[in-house]
Amino acid sequence: MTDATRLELSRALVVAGLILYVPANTLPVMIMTVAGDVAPLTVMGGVQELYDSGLAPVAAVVFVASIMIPFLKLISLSWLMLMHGSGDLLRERTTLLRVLHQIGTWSMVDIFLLGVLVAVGQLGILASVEAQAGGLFFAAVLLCSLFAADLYQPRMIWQPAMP
Amino acid sequence: MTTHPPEPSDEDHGKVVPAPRVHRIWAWIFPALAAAAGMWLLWSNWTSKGPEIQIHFSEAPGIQSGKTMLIYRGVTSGQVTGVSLNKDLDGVLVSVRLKAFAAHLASEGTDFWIDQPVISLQETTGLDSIIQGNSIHARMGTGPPTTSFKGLSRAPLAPLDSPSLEISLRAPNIPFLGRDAPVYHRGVPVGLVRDKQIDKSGEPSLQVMIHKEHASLVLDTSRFWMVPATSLQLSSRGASLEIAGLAALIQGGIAFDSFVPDGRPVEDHDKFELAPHEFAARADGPRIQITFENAQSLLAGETKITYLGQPVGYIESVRVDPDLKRVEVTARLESPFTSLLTTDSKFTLIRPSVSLKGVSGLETLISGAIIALVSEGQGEPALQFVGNIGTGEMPHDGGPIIYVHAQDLPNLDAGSPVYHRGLVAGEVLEKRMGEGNIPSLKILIREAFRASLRTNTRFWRVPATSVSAGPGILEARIEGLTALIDGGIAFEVFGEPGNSVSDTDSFELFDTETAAQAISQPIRIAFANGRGLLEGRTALRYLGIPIGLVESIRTSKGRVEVTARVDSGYEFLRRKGSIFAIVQPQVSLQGLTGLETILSGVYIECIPGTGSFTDGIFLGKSSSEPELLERQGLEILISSKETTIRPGAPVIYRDMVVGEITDKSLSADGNNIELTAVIDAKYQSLVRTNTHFWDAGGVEASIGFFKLKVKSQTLLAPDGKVAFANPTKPGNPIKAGHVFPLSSKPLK
Repeated sequence: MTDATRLELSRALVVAGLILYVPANTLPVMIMTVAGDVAPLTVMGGVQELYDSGLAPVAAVVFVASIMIPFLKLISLSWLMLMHGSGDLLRERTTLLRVLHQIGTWSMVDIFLLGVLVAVGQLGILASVEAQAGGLFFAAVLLCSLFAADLYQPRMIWQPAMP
Repeated sequence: MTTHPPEPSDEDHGKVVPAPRVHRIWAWIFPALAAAAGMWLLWSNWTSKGPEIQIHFSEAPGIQSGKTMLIYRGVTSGQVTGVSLNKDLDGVLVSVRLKAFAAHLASEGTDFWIDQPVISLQETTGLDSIIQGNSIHARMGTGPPTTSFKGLSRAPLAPLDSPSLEISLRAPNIPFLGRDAPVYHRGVPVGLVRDKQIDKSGEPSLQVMIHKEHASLVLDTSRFWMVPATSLQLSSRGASLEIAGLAALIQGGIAFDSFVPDGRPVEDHDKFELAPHEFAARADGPRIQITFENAQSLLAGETKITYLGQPVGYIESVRVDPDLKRVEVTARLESPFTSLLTTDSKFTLIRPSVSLKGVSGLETLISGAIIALVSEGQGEPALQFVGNIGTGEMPHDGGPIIYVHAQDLPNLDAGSPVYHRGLVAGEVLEKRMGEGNIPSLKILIREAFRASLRTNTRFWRVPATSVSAGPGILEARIEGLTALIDGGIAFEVFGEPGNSVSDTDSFELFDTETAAQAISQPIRIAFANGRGLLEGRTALRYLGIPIGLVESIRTSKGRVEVTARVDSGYEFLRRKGSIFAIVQPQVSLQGLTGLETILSGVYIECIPGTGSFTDGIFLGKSSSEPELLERQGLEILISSKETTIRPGAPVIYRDMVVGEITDKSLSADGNNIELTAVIDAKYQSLVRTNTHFWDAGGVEASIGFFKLKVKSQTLLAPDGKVAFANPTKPGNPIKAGHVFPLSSKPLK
C-alpha cells in the first residue's frame, strides 16, 4: 500500500469516525432491565447512572475511557491529518501519534465490556442487559480511529506534502 | 567489459509519480457509509415516531418519563416522554410519544389506563407489571383523531373488544352484588357486572356487560335473578349446599334465562328487572290479587303458590287492604300457568301443621307456608281472588287416648307426632302437669294402631337428630322432617305383647330407644369418679357387647351413683360379686388400651359375680383393661421399697403364670409401694404365710472390677415379673389381703 493510499484511507476513516461519533453517543448502547426498571443507556447515560449510584471514581474512569479518549483521539487524528505535509511541530506530532498507537491497544475495552455485560447480565426476569445499535456505532467509531491511527505512520509526518 | 547502466536522466531523478487520485477515491466509501447509516437512523427514527398525545390521569403511580411504555394488545406502541402535574395539582399529565404504526390510537374514544397488579378473587391481572413495572395500556376508540385524552382510573372490564352488549338491571335493592360479579347463563359465565349505581329516582341499578359472543343469549323475554353467594336448601331429600363458584362465594352473581320461547334480541342499554331469586324470575305472568283473612306466615318474595304440588308462582307483596280488614296479596304465576287463573280457581293458604292426614303439610315446615291453587281451568279468566285458610286439625277417629309421663318434656308439645315403626300413629294432644308434679302428655293414637298398644309398650323420645358414634361407625338419624324441628315420640312393644290397654292408661316416656328397650329394674353402681359417664349415652357392656345403658348419674355421699338398666336376659349381672368397671382410654409407654372408648366414649364393663342376686348398690371400679378385671382369686398385697413392676405383670410359680399384678399403689403410710396381686383361685393354696416373693423381671449383669450392676426389664415382660416359691416346710394358708415383702433375690 502506498503512503498516498494510506493517507487517503486514514483521512476517510477519520471523517467516517467523526460522522459515526454522533449516533454512537446519542443512541442507547444498551438496555438495562433491573427488577422491572427498563433503562436504555447511552454512554453518557451510563456515566450519569454510575455517578448517581455513588460510584464517582468508576464514572470518571468510564467517562475518560469511553467518551473523552475516543473524542480526543478523533480530534487529534483530524489535527494530524490537517497538519500533514506541514513542517511545523514535527516532533510533537510524532509523539502524539505514538501515544495514539499506544492508547489504541486499549480502545476496544469498552466494547469488550459491553459484550461481557450482555453475556453475563442475563438473570431472567430479575435483570437483563441488551446491546443496542449505539454499541455498534460506538464500535465502528473505535475501529475507524484505530485503523486511521494505524495507517498513518509516524514517518509520513516527516514526508513532504503530497498533492 | 562492464556495461554501465544508463545514466539516470534528470526527469527520472527524485520524480514522484503520484498515483492518480481517482484510484484512491474508494477510501471515501467509509465516511459515505457512515453518513448513510446515520441518515438512515435519523430517517427511520423520524418515520417511526407517531403523534404525541397527552393523557390526564388522576394519579400515575410508577409512570416514568422515558421508561414507561404504552402497550396496546401486548405490543409496545409508544413511550412516555413526560410526566407532570397539571396547573391545579389535581391531576397528572402524561405525554406519550406514539409509534408510527400506532398512530391510530390517537383517536377520540381511546381509553388509556395504568396497568398495575390487581389481585382479587375474581381474577388476578397485571401480574407482568410486577416484573416489568407499570405500563399504560390502551383500548382503541373509533372517533376522529385527537391528542388529548382522559385516562381511566382502573382497567376496563373488557379491555380490547369493546362492542359488548350492555344492559341495565333494576331491583328494589341489590345486596352483595358489585363490580365484577359474574353473570351466568345456565351456569356458564357470559358477562360481568360493570357498575352498581343509584339512578336519579334513587333505585339501584346494575350495569351489566354481556360478552359479545354471548350477546345473542339475551332476549327481550330474558329474566334476570340474583344468585346468592351460597344457598342452603333444605328439602325432603335432604340438605344441599350450593356454592356457585369461588367468585360467587363472596359476592354472589346474576343469572339469566329465558323461560318462554320466541324472544327477540335486545339492544344496548335495554333495561331489565332483577328478580331476587330464580323462582321469582320464573314467575312472569300477570299480577293477581288474592285476599286472605290474615297473612300469618306469608312472606313477600318467599311464599310460593303451588299447583298439584308444583310451585307455579310466588307472592310478590303482602299488604293490608285499605279498610284494614283483610290482607291483599299480590302474586305472579309463571306464564304457562296463567290459564289456570279463572273464576273457579281456589287459593288455600296452607301453614305448617302436623296432622294425621297431612303429610303434604309437613313440607311447609321447611318451605314455610304455601298457597295451594286448585283450578279446573274453566270459567272466565280472572285476576282477583278470595283465598281460604287451610286448617290442620286432626279428626278424632275413635282411637285410644293415653298418657305418657317423664321427669321433663322438652321439645314436645301439642301436635308433636307419635310414630310406630316409622308411621305416624298419632299425635300429642296436650301437654300438662300430671299427678305428683310430673308433666305428662295426652296422646291420641289412631284406631289402626290400637293393637300395638299393650301394657308393656314402651314409649321413647325421638330426638330431633341423633348422632351416635362407635368405633368405625358414625350413625346419624333424622326421624323425618317434622321430628327434625321438634322431635316426637315413638313406641314399640319389646318382647311378648302384654295385655291390651284401656283409654287413659299412663306410660313412662323413656329418653332413648335403648333406654326403652332396657326393661329391667335399674342397677345401681357407685363409682369413686364418674369421669366420662353420660346419662342416656354410656353403655354397659358384657364381654364387649352393649347390653344396657346408664340412665342417670348423681352424686351421693362423695361417690357417683349411677343408675343403669340392662337388657332383658342379662339379669345374671345382678349377683353379688359382679364387677362394674368404667373403661377409659389410657395412653402410656406400655401401649394404648381402651382405645375404642376414644370414639365410643367410656363404657362400663360388667363381669358377673357368682353370689346371690341382690338389689343393693354395686361398687364400681375404673380400669383401662377390662380383661384384667376378670381375674378372680386370692387378693394379696406385696410390699416393696421400690419396684419397676407395673400392673399387668404376671405372678409366676415354677414358670407357670398363676396370677397377675392388678394394681400398684402407695401404702397408707407412704413408705412402701404395694402391689396388689390376684392369685387364681385354683392356685391360691400355694400362697402360704412364709411364701417368698421376689422380683423376677429384671435381668442382672455384673461386669468386671467395679462390679457394674445392670438391671433391666426384658422386652418380653415390660411390666416385670413377680415370682414366688415356698420353703421346704410350708406355712399356714393365708387370707385375702395378706401383705408379703418383695425380695430382690430368689429363694436360696
